[in-house]
Amino acid sequence: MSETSIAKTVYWQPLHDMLDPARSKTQTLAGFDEEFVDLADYILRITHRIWEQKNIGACYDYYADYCPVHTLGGYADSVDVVVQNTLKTIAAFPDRSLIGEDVIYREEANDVYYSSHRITSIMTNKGPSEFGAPTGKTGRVTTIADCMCRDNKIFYEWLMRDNSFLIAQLGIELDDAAAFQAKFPVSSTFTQWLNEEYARTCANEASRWEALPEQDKPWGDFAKSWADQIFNKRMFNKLSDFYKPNASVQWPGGRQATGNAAIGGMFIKYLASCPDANMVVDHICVTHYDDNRVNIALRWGLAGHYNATQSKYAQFNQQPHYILGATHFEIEDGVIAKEFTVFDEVAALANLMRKLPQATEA
Amino acid sequence: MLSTIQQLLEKQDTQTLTAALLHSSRWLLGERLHYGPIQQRGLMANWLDITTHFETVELCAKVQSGDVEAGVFCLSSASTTTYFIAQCEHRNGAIKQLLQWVDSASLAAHYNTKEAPGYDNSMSLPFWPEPDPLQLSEFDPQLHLKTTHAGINDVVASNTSDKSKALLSQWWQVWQGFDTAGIKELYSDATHISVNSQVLNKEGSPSVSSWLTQLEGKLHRRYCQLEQVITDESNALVRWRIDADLKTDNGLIRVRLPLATMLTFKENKIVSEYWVVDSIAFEKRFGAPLPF
Repeated sequence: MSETSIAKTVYWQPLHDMLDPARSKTQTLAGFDEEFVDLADYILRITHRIWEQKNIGACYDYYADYCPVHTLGGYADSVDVVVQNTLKTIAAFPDRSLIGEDVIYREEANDVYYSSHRITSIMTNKGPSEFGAPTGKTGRVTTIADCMCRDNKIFYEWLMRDNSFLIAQLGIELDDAAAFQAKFPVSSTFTQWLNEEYARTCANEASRWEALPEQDKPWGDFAKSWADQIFNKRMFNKLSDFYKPNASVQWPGGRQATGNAAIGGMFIKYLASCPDANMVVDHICVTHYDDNRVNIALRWGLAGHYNATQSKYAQFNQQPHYILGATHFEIEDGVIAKEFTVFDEVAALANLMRKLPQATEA
Repeated sequence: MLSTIQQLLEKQDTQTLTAALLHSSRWLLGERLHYGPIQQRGLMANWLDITTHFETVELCAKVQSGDVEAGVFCLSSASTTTYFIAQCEHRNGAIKQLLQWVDSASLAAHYNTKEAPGYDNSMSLPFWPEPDPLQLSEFDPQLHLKTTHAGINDVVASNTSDKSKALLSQWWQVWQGFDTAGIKELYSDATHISVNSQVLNKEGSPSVSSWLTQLEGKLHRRYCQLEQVITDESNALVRWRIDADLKTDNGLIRVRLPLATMLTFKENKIVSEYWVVDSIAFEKRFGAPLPF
């Protein structure tokens, strides 16, 4: 892998280079505007234009008219709703920055590009938000946006945000934020999607996705094995097959672990809240950073029955529970050096309050 | 790139550091990660305020390996010395990551004394960041023989000399393995070893072995984890952490103590060793003071 891989360029990229990339075009990007040199450039620049330059209407240029957007808290499928939601978020957090940490992508069949974009946002809560009244406080949050793109437009999106980490900085309790969200009705399309995702994940059926290129297949096997051995078989002595001895792992809500002992403890504690959980990996992307580092993006689902680890949530015991999650790995020497896992615990708790998913038990 | 920090502190040069920071740079202070120009400017302003309370800034020890550079800075006035450790990940003049661990207790004591006409030695700094939220999970702290625990050889760069690896492994055995007998082999009477502003082995201060005993005795079910070790021929920065149970007025709580230790060594002995622990960040995060 060359010294100047796109991933490495993006990692060290100053803002002026992000806005006007100096690197030459290395991807065909059929159907995309000529100005974009690769998919990472497309994703970073359109995000900057929409969010930081506040050209919210640019969503009409870069989103298909019909674009399903899945989050654990709701569903939208029209570009008009994407524009409205973006506007509302900026009104609630007017200084929200979207700092691109990584774009892990792959080219798929029929001129489709799949991108998994990890973003750090700094944002001050100055207006009413999806969590309640404004707090005036500033917080940081990690988001992973998985997008399918074709012909210069995003036409399918999954959005995962670490909202429990954000509200902790805003001074909002998890139960309060979830109860606030649970008051709002959800669409029947969302309920249907959640029910289907729950059933599919419990049945261990991964969504269909295109095989990885030959060179990346071992990384696909690695990622699936990670889900299977650690989360499905609970073989925590296998952690050293997947993680460096000083690997660092960031999970939602401020869970932070380094080293196998702490990582194992964190996973065990999390899984105790859904002890029959099954994890299914629904998509994998791989980009090569340099000879010794590979970045992998996974989108996954986790489903099972809720088991409260705090007495205040005991009323939800045995309810069906579903998590839409995304993970980015930085792999060094063949094992994970850093992991960033994102899902929305606020929405997950709001769904328990709404008694969703309404699963038909097998 | 540590020079950008030195220039900020000595010459009030905000522009050189600003120019080196990227759109995606992160800056750790007070166990909080900061991003973006607004937060960066706030941090620089606070540092400039801090430096008005000190007369000199000195880089006491330094290590560089690949894209990473780290150093111990010593802020001095007639009455006090405050250390902080800074680490930079940089390339071609750009800083991607700037991590700082500060002896905030000593800083607060000095800052508040100077600030107020009366004597106020409170353990707080008005501008010290709120630490990032942290959820700790319980785990088995025992070093089972068939489980993996990071050792020095697992985390140092492959080009580290065998001599350095052996010395650092011995050091880790002392602090992680509670090997009090190993202290004599590692340290001489002339070694400078400080924990924040307290110099050990001096009259009226604890010895190295009593410091180790305090760590073991006051932090129950202690587990030490290496995060990163940066070495050159005669220096090393060890970033590590202790997860432990701490007895407080509110009962036993699980805590995490992030540590930055800078070592300088010569002929298989440690010449100097600086430990920096951010006491204010610890107290803000866990609602309890450090037990030592």
